[in-house]
Order: sequence, then C-alpha cells, then structure tokens
Amino acid sequence: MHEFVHELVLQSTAFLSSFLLLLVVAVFAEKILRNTFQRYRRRRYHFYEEKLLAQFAEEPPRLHLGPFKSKHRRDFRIIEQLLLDYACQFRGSIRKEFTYLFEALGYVAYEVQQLKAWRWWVRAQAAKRLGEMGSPQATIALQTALADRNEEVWFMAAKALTQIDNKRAAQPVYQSLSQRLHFGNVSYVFEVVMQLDSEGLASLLATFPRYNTAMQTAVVRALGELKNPQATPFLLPLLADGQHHLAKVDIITALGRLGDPRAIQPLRDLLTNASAEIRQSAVQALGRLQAIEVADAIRSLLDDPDYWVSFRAGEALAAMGELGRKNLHQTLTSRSAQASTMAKYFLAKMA
Amino acid sequence: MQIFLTQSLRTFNSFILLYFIMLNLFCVFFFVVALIYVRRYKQRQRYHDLRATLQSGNTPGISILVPAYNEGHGIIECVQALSRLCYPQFQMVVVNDGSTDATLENLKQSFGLHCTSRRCPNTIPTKPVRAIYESSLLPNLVVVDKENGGKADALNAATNVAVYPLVCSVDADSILEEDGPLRVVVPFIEDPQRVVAVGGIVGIANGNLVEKGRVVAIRFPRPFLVRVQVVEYLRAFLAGRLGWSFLKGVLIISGVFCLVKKTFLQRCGGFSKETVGEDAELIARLHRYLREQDQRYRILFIPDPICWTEAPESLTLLARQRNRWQRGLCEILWMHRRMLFNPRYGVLGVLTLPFHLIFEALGACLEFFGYVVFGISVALQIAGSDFVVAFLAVSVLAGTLISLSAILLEELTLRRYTRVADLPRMIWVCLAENFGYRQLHAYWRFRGTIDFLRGKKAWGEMQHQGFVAQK
Repeated sequence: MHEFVHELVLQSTAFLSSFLLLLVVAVFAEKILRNTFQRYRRRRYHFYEEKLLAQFAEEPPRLHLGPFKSKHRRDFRIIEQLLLDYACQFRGSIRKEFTYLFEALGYVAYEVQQLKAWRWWVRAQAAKRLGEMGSPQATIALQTALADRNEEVWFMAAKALTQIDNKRAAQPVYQSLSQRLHFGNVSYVFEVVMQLDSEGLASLLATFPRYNTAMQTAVVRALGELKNPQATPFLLPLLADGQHHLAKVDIITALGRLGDPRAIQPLRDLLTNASAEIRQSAVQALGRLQAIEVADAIRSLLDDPDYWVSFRAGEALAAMGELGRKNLHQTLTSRSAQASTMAKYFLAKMA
Repeated sequence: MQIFLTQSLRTFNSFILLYFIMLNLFCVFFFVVALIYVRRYKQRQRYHDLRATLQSGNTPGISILVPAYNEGHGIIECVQALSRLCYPQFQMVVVNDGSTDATLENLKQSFGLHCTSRRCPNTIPTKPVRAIYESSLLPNLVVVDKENGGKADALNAATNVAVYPLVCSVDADSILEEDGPLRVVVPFIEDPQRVVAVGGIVGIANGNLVEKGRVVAIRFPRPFLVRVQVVEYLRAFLAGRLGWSFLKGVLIISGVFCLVKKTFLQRCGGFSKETVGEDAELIARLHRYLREQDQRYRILFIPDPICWTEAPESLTLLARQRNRWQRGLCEILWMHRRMLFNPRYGVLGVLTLPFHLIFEALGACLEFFGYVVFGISVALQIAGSDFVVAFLAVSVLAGTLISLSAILLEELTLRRYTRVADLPRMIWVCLAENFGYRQLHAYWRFRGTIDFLRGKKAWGEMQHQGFVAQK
C-alpha cells in the first residue's frame, strides 16, 4: 500500500509539472495573441473608419462600395463591425444606403448562411447582425430561425424581424410564441412585445391564451409599458378572482401604467382586498392614474393596518396635487396616529 | 509502542493524502464547471442590451442599504459614488448605527438632511430608531439614525425603511461598478417568479485607480500580501462560487454586494445578529426557508465584476479577517446543522454544506495538523526523504495549478488585468503563496475554529486606508 502511495505521488509530480508548464505557456500565448489581434483590429478599424468618414464629408453624402471591397479576408468582419456601428446611428435614406451596402458587399448573404451554423451563439449573432442591417432579403431566413430551439436565437431573430423595413415581417413572431412551451425568459418576450405596433397587438392578444405563464407575465408587463388603450378591455377580465393563474399584481401594475381611466373603478374595488400586496399595488396604480375621483377611498387607506399600503396611499395622494393635499390636510386631524403621521410626512414632502 | 506510533502516523499521512486528492479533484471539477458556466453566461450576455434594461419600466427598483458605524471619513464619498449609479430607480438607505464619530453630522452638512415625521415599521425587530432623515439635495437618500446594534441590526433597520422590492447591502468602504446593479438585476427580470437572491464578483480595489468613487483603471497591486489576495479572490469567486451556482447550491454570497427580494428577507427574519457571517447565514436561511415551504426558487451567482473592496494590507488585519470568516462559517454550519447530509434540502444539504464542513471548517484543522504530523514523521524518519520531497512537490504543484486555472479562467472571460506584464507577476504569486502564506492561512483558520469553539463573537477592529489616497 505504502509503495503504491509512493509511486502515485512520484507519478503525480511528473504529470503536474508538465501540465503546469503547459498551462503557463497557454496563458501567455492566449494573452499575447489576443493583445496582438486586438491591436491589429483597432488599427484596421480606424483605417476603414477614415474612408467612411471621407464619404460622409461629400455633399450630399453618398456611400460607395469601393473602399470596403477589401482584398484581405481577415478585414471582412472588421468592415462589417464598422458599418454596423455607424448604421445603427442613422435612420431614413442614409440607413437605406447602409442596407444596400450590406447587401452589395455580401454581408447579408454571409449572415444568412451563418444562421445555419451548429453553434447557437453564431446563429444568434448572425440574427442580431441581420436585424441591424435591416435588409428585407433576410426576412424568410429570420422567420425560419423563429423555430430555433435556442432562446437567444429566437429572441434575436424576433427582434431582427421587428427592425426590418417590412410591416408583415414580424407577424409570425407572436404565432411562434405559442409554440414555445418551455420558453421562460420574461425579459426577451418583454423586449420583443415592446417593438409591437397596433396591428401586431391584435395578433398577440389572439394567441395569448396559448402562451405559458412566464410569457403571459411578460406580455402583461409589456402591455402596460406600451400604453396602448386597446389592451385595457383585454386586461380587465383577467383581474376577476379565480379567472386566471397570472399574478394579480402584474395585471394591476400594467393597468396603472396604461393610463386608461376605464381601469379606475375595477382598481378601486381592489382597495378592500384581503391581501395587503394587492391593496398596495392597487393604490399605487390609482396614484399613477391620478384618479382624483377615488381620492376619498385612497385617503381611507392612510389608516390601513399594513404600513406599506398606508405609505403608498400617501404617495398616491401626494401625486394628485391640490386635491391630494386637501385630503392629506383633512387626515391631519384623524384619530389614527398612523394616518396623521403619514399625512404630515407627505404634506412636508409636497411643500 | 514505536510500531503503533509509526503505523498511526503512516495511516494519518495516507489519510491526509487522500483528503488532499479529494480536495484537488473537487477544485478541478469546479474549474471545469465554472468554465462552462462563465462562457455560457458571457455568450448570453451579448444579447442582453443593458440600455434596454435601463430604460425599461420592467426593471424593478432597488434600495441600497449602507450600514455605517464610525465611517465619518469615507461616508460622503460613498454616498456621492452611489448617487452616480446607472440605474433607473433606486434609493440609498444609510444607517448611522450609533456612531461615536461625526458620521451623522457629516451627512447632515453635505446632503442638507432634514428630520422627517416618518416612522419606521418594525417588520424586523431592531434597536430603537432615533430619527429618519431625508435629503433636500439627493431625493433618493434616506438616513436612519439608530442606537448601536451591530451590522446585522443596521441592515435590518434599513430593510424596514426600504421602499423598493429589491434590497442590496453595500459596505461603506466598497466601490460599486456604475452599471453593477443593472447587471445583477438581469436574473430578476428574466425569471421574476423564482429568483430570490443574486450576487456577483467582488474584486480587490487596492492598487486600482479610483476617481470620484469610481474605479477608472485596474492595476495589479504592489504589496505581496494584496497580490496573494487577488489570486485568492479569483479562485474563490471564479471557480468556487460559480461552480456552486451552476450546481444550484450557492452558500456564500459576499455581503459586500448581494441583491435580495425584500419580501423573502423579511419573511426569513432579516439578517441574523447571532453570527459574524450574517451575509452567508442569510443565504443559508433563505435556502432553508424556501425548501421548507416547498417553493421553486433560484439563488444565483453571476460572473460579472460588480463591486470592489479594500483588502487588508497587514498580516494582523488579514489574520483578523480570516479568523472572522472561519468563525462565521462554523457558526453557519452549527446554526443549520439540521440541513447537513439531509436530502430534503437538495444540493445544499447533501453537497454544499458537507463540503464546507469537511473541506472548509474541518479542513483548516486537518491542514494544520497535517503540517505538524508531517513534520514529526520526517523527524522520526517514518516517511522517506524522497517521499517527503515528492509529496511537497505535488502539493505545491497542485496548489499552483488550481490558482493558475483561476487566472486562465479570468483571462478567457473577464480580462480585467489587460497588461501582459501583470501575467508573470500573477504566476509568481501562484507559486510563492505555497511557501509561508498557505501555512499561515491554515493557522489563522485553525485559530478561527478554536475561537468559535470558545464562543468568541467579536468582529475585531478593521482599519481602512480608504480610496482617496489612490487617486
């Protein structure tokens, strides 16, 4: 046994020494190569940038293919990055010229090819770049990419389709959401929904019941941000007890952000809800809606047993301006110490 | 008698060797896991637009909790730096925990504080709050003045005052990356139902160029002791914690920066005053609470540099810090002993806590005794000299290899130390730390375990040099 341990230790020493040496070399090589490549990249980037800026100096500015037809294959991606960096800063005709440039230089075709790569990050990167290029030539390839199993590829393809200058291009995005049963990244769905126009909203709401909970949550949150009153009649029924498994707080917050006065009465009804969390969100939403007609009901919550409901009621009244101030003044003489302290605090804040 | 002694020492040496192999295998495993995790994270991050997070109404508000006890010299810079954070809606809650210096007066003067009539809800019981101040210059600054009750008590008082759904504790002597909170909040946005707490990488600020409370250039520090700590932090954060996060068994999220859902923090009873490692204890308690409630949850650690902290530059201060960390760990293991080897608590019960018990808490004693017994074996000529040399070589090489792997991981992912000249220095530190520092470290941790057994609770005084001098 002892001999075995002895041998093991000796063998390990030899193995570890050589591995260590290898690792040191690897670390050094990686660092030096990376730094060298970055320096080269920076230099070439500036070289082409000067050429691009010279074209902008012309009157009227016109983009020519000539300077970007590089003989060096290694400059292909550098030029692409440069053009993308500038393209993202423009809208209108100059942007269209950039799109033409991407098509003519073969970047669109190249990235469409990359959408078929076996590594997901290459596919996602390609979708991202195609969106930035904004070429309608990539529409079909991007729509096909919506069926990709990877979340990032779907997200980038969906986002890219909303960036392309073709209103119909984004239509399949919302359909594809209903087919993604295990998709759970709320932030991706939120960002894509935020790109939505009125036409897309109808398509989204039609497919909504088929989405999973995480996606529905994202859609509800985004609807609030979109501030499109078309969403109010859709959201209100979701508030009814036992009607939906979605978190009520999300729906209430979305209604508050929407800014549609049709939500005031249903929200007022929630001020007497047994859950402090729901009362808190409802009063916050009413404050956001500047619902002066329910100021009395909000004032009564200054005396709520939950500190934060009372605090949010004070905040909501303070946001209502003069009428809120009047209500807070009336509470100063309240028998409840909490209500009068809260009123005093918010009055001081308003002052 | 001598035969018995010889046999015992040989058995112990073989046991130490086995232990050593196990530990290193774990380290290699964590390294591989961390490499996969970090690469995947970095690749995914390319598609997450931080500007969209900044502008989105979907981004939850954050309350930043800053406990301050006798921080009069640095609290103003700290608040000023925090106020420049790149985040859509946040509140700074500074708690003056009964300071005996001019902490509160400095805050009053610099930020035009005025006393409010607001009362603090005592959701988590704390020492009495004397007053709550608000600033006329910074609308999102709240200062709570309370009686001294320790760091955990101050954090609990700040939690009670926090208005936003997410809270994070920040040390007054640390520097937050400007977009740090924006990065840490991403998991909460992506999976709002399940994510409960998120931590990030803490770096060592010594040697860096700091201007107006921001790290503007990252430099490898000069003092050897700090350099060793840089490598240690890389090892701990990049390989260790990321590995545990991948296995869904994170136990330690540094209290220097940790973002937690306020509701869960309150339901768990806030930060514990019974331990000197209140940050790690909170994470253990969150795991325990959520497991017992049968809730689906995620506690994550992200490989993004979020915060910079000042490392001790003297042996005395470092010894105190490591002693406190060791005591904190032992206290957590003792407080949550019910979870140990208990499959009900998932990865934490069957893997994380046993690992921390065997390799971290008891490991310190074993390592310390290992050196002693090894010395005796050599003196009594029980172990042959070639074996001793080979064993020491393996031990040094394995230690160096693991540290070097952490550096490689840093190179492949974060690339904070961009200068080629820093690399040989780092490699030298990886090798040199095995001679002297490692043994000293084992001794400090051993002392920490003894102090825990003796029931020592003190924090030990820490002196901060501050970042102003490094401008």
